[in-house]
Amino acid sequence: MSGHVMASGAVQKKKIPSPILGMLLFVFTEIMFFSGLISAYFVIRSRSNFWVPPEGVRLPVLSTAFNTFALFLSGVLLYYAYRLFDMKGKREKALFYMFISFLLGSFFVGFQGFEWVRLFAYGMTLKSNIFSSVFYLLIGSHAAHALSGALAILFVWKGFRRKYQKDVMIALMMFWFMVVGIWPVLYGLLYF
Amino acid sequence: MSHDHHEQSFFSKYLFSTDHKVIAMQYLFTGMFMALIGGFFAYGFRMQLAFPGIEVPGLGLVTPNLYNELVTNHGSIMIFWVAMPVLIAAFGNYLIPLMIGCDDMVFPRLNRLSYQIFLISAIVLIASFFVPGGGFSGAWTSYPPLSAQAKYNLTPLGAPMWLTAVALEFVAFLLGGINFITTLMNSRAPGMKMWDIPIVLWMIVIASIVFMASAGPLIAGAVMLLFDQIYHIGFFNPNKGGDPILWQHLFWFFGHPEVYVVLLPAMGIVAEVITVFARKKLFGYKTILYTTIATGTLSFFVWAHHQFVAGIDPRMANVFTITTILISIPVTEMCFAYIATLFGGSIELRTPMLFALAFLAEFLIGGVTGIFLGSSGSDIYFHDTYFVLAHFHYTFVPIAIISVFAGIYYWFPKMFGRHMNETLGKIHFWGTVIPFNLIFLPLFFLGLAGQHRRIYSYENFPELAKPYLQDLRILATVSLIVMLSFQVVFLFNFFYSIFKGKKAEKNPWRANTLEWAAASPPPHGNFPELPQVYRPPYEYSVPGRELDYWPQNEKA
Repeated sequence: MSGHVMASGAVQKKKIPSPILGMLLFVFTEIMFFSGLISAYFVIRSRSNFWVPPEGVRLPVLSTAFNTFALFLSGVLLYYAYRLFDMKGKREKALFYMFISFLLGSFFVGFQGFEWVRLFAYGMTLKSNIFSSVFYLLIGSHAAHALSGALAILFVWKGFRRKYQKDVMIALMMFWFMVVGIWPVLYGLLYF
Repeated sequence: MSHDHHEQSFFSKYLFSTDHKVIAMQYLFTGMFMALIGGFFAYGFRMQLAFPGIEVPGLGLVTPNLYNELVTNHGSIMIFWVAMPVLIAAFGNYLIPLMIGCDDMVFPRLNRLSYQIFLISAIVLIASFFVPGGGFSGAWTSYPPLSAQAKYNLTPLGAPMWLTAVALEFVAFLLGGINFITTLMNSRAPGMKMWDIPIVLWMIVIASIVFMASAGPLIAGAVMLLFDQIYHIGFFNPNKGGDPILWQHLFWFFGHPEVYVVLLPAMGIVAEVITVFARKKLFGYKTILYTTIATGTLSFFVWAHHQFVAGIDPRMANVFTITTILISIPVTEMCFAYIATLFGGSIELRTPMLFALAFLAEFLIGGVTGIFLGSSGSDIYFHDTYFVLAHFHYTFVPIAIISVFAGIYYWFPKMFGRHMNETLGKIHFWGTVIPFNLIFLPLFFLGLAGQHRRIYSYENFPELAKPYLQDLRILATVSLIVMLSFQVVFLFNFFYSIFKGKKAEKNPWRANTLEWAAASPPPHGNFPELPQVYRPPYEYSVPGRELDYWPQNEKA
């Protein structure tokens, strides 16, 4: 993002600016990727007789609900920052909320990592049973996206301290909202 | 993007360039190199099939393991490392900015990254041939459990390397696809409206959209398969609660749209060539565009026709039979529109035109034989025989070889500023198309006779080892060798013409599209001043006009 991807040869009146259109296409492929994973989940689950975590392991439903809230708040704050950037004299405030959004996003990833460590300790690993394999595959794929999304917020935030670019902000939001939006689906499918 | 035309070093000009034309050439030459490997592999296993157990000249004895490795990687290379990079990436990168009249792609650095990732994927694939156990031997479709467990495919390192290479290659084309679509939408020359875009660009871009929509599930499947191969998880292992058919769904959800991903750019190239050499307006521009969109959309609803035998609810088989037969309608309509374009035109049989016409004729055979395979009833008999193999080679060879040759002969003067030799071109044409038919027509008959695919030697099958069947195999192999040796004519013509060919002017074919308004070869930045577009791309032989062509950028 930021200064690295620059548009060239702009001669046509653009309906959608290039960074946004590019990100829209990328988000589209990501959604197809997750659709692939989710359909794999349904296929495997439909033929599985024991669709439960390994014996003696209980998934941290409540603390993950709290974590879900943190991720949501991160998304809301990023949007709030976007609105603030458009107002006069609110630049500093916008940057502040954008940074909080990054912190909440990283908290989400960090907290999930902490939960994984505890699940491992209780004996639920990638190979325990087919449920735990699917669990780690789907949640792990999402975590990889959440991590890269949080880093992207930080990276763009650094760029915005010099110069704000609205198109880049919209592109960033599109990616982050995808990460935030897919999470409840995975949470609902795997934790309940 | 800065426009300083300072001298670049060789290194930064050819290896780390962000110029779309250089990246296109990188894709083209990498694709041609991979095609040589893929062709050589075909030679290896065809020799084994025709003359079982002989020492193949240049390769040695083809053992069962080597046979599987050759077959698997022939398929993978020809689809992922030849058809995709040449048809989509090379022609897309070269043509999109030139034909819409702009100076470069919207994201030039992303474009360079795309080629670099592609190059790494090709290197990983080639490296996999040299690791212990050899390259992957689980067929290009990579069905588990064969592909998931080293004890079945016997390639513990080759299998994950192959999968990694394919995944990297996909990332490369996703980046490329984002670039293509964004550039076409946002960087068109002033005055170029939707209906003024040359059909080849529409087709490349629609193909990119189809690719981007279908690649995600396969990448998800590839991650799961990689886990199965390396950590023995069992997503596709029924003993561990997984489902092997799941892979087939994820693979073919990508794999069948992929057929149309490569078909569409080929169709587009042919459209450009036949309008120029028939000196006639493309018949039904909008019809062709709508059928392209229909083909792209329908291609997502046909995948399970690959699973009629693997196991699918018969009610679903009915649905997929219908969608599969349906998709032949838009494709046929396209072919009819092309034939209507030819009708009454003043046809010049130059080399590109010969290849374009051959594309239509050969692809027709591929399409018609597909109907038997799309119907679940007959497919149960034909499944996994050489009939299937001959069918898809009758589609893929016209797509990835014949149309590519049409494109190369047609745009060569623009790419290198010189002409290819016409006589050598015609020799190459006949030397490619005649042996091509002699390779694959016998394979239809072998398939009808019940010859199964992926069998290393038929000597142990008395019904299939009959001499008259073996004669057909020998005919196919000899024809393959003839066809491969005629490619030497092409390679000579190609490289000789780059340096010594007849100099080409700006617009040697008297064509309308914008790339012919640039110098041959176009400099960095393409146009001295960015062109303005006044009319649709196919205004040939307009009544009342002195010249029989009317460039898009000419004011009156």
